[in-house]
Amino acid sequence: MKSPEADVCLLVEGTYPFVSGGVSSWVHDIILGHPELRFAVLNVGSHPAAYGEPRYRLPDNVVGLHRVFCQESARPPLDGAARADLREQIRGLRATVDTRAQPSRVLAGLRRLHLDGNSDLEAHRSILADLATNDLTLDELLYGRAAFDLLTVVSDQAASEAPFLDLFWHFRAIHVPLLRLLAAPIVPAACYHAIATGYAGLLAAVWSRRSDRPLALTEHGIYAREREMELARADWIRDAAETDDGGFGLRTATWAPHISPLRKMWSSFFRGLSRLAYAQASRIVTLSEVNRGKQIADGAPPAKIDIVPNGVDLSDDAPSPGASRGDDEPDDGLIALRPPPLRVGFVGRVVPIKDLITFIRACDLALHSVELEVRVIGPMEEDPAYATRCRDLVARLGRAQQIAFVGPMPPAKIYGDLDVVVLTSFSEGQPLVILEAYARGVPVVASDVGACREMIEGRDAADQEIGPSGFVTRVATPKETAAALVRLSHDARLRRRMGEAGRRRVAAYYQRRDMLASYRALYASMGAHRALTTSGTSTSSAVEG
Amino acid sequence: MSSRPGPPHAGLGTIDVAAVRPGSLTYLPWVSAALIDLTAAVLLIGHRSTPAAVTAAALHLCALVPIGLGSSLASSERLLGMAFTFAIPVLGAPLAALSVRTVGHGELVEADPTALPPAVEAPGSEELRQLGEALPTCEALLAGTSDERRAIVATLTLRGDAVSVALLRWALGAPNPELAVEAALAIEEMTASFEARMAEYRKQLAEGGAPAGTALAAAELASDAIEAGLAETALIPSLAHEARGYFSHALAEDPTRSAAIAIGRARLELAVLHPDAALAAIDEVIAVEGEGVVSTAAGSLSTEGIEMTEMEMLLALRDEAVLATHALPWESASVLASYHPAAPPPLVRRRLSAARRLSGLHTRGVTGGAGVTVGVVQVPSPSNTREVPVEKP
Repeated sequence: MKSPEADVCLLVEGTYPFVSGGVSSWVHDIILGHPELRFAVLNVGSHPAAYGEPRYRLPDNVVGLHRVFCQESARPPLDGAARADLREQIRGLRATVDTRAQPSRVLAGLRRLHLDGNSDLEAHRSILADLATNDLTLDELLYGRAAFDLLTVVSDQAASEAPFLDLFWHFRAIHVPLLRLLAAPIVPAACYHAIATGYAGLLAAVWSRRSDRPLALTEHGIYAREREMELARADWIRDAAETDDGGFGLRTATWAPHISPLRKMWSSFFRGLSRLAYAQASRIVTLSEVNRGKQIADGAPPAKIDIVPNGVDLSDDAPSPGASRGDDEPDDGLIALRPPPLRVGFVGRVVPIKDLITFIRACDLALHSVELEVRVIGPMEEDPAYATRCRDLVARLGRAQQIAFVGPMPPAKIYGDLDVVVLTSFSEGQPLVILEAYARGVPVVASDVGACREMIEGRDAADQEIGPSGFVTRVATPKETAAALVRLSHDARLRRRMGEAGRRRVAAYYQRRDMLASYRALYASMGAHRALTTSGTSTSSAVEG
Repeated sequence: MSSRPGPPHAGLGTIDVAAVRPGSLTYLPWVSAALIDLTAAVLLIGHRSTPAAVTAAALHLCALVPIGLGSSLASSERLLGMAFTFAIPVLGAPLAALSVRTVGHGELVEADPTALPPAVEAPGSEELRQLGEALPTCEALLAGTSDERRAIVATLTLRGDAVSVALLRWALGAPNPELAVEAALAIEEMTASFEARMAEYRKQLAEGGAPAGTALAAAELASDAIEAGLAETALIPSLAHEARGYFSHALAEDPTRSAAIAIGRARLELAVLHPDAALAAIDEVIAVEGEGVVSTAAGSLSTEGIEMTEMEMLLALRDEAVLATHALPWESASVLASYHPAAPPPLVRRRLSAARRLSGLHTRGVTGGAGVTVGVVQVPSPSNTREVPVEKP
């Protein structure tokens, strides 16, 4: 049976509902927060075998879950006969694919994307119009003369230093996923909402263009910059051989950096994808002022950008009433504090990007001075090798008694047993963990990434008046994190003051109802709110209640 | 050069890059060379004797002469022909002739034949400045573009030596948070790589039957990690202990490599501030008397068994160890606990001293723990460095 047309089609890349984590739980929350709307979810994945079973039960208002894959699953190696057969097929294709009457508009769009990457948004709209025609088949890209012509032009003008053979394969690797996406059947919806730029953003922009339905774009992290960081360390891009002697002499001390043209091409491609989504989106939503600045620097029009911070329910997350009060603490109605040991929590997936190693090292350092009871709360199966490394480090440091890996827990049960939450991530958008901790009056020690600083110290003068709700540390600096833990352990009043500041900060700026109201207004402005227009008040109260 | 129209849909032409040689080819030198070679071959096959072989060889060399003297050939063609003829008896000359007379039709490039060649962008002032000045790594990290910065961080990661790690740790305090994150990720990547390799060695050695040299490789890996500042500070004593065990294992496995093992052991002991142990490790292999080097009386090895490069390394390490025994309070556990085993970035050191010397200014790191300690030197954080004029009397 055909599923009904959705009010909103959410397009995500590799996350909801197959991966748990910040963005996935945010998407789940958005869907739950708008029961009056019908959502379709389109998950752009790498290949079918890359993801397991869904980690979330889809809410009743999800009318369809669709998947598009950028690559096929790996095929078994071909035997001699099959290989010969494949060669024949390729020869046949080469003879037949070059028969089109008109040049491909997709190829023309790709050409401009690669060669005029820094052009304005109007030019990107025109590129998008070309890509939306989807008039290039995969065979034409792989075996056609015109695609090869484009490759040679890119080689001459954009990547002349790259070995041609390498460029050939990278050219394919860049464009095959893109063509697969362009060929994906459109999911009909009243509006499209991409939860990142990149491949999901491109597909959303193309569908929005084809169907003439509006597009909203929400960026938690800045996709293009995250990919650039990934590309800088990617070992599948072959760089020019090192000519330096690698010693300690003058050539080590001075620098004329060699920028790999292939990395540059990938990076410029992802920036191009971001610009395409920025050009097509009618509204762009970001979580923080920091990210807004980055989006503008990357080509997003400032007038389109709204800041809608994440939010949590304050009412449901009151501090634990059973907390005992220290002898020296007056009964002034503020959050109660427990006696030592300080209960420290790391809440999140045990994956390298969260830099749990720094957290463990910080706890080890702090344990030389104060008593701590440390818990690592979060799933460990996503990167078993990293989880093993973390456990090994704890064992080798002899801290197995003090640092426990407790696995995932429901949010409601986490924060009541914690005095401080620590986040040592290399990269974050606007972590929900911090807001959840604040809602329970728990101060936070977090690394200076994403919106963490403005969440802890305040984003504007009024926010800063509330006072700091924790400590900000440099990334990968365990001694700073340890110093913060020691200080919080020694100074119970400071801990309480910071916890209170966190609660006030959530109350003022990070309420879930405010976030949902912003998105409700956004969806309404894009024509998705048919249900609300007919029963506005009752639906609203249902959401907020 | 010939050209033909390209496919109509592409609107492009294909340029045949034809390697056309001016003038026609004279066949006489090639035929002469082939005939001489053929004669030599017949002689060699018909008379299987040493004089016949010598004559055949002489004829084969004579076959080079007609080509070498061929006045109609360009020097490169002569060279090619002689190489072919010498390398491939009998067939070489015809093959060379074919190669020289071939007019290529290789499709090397495709472009619109009517279009102007793409304009080559002249280097801008920024590129020229970089080419001329070759920014110091620290400054390039702070002042370069994001692409340059990433290229530097990637190369530092690939190197993974002590200086690279020290630079990356220094970059953690950079005012640019993206640089700090990239440096942190790079250090994490190197640490993870070290730990994975070390775990693999441990597994192989624990299971037994590890390939020869595994113990030495494991010990050297641990030494490298300590030296580069990648090993977990709190675990340095236990890692050093483990490495010492692997060095002993390696020596028992192959006593002939005692010099290489002593070098590794000495590096390790110096890295963990035990120069006395480094001295002992070196002196087990060599003994120094005045200027000359003689074999140790206690061991079965002598300096004759040690290669010159190894001996130079041992003596250099010995000098370093002798200095270190006088320079560092190495007995103190607290020094070990706070030790960052990397030399200060040489350029940082050089530039700081140059700045003082040339400008009459003192550079002073602001306190607050924002700098990075390398060895006994506190390198100020880039964000927290300021210059203070010297007060003159």
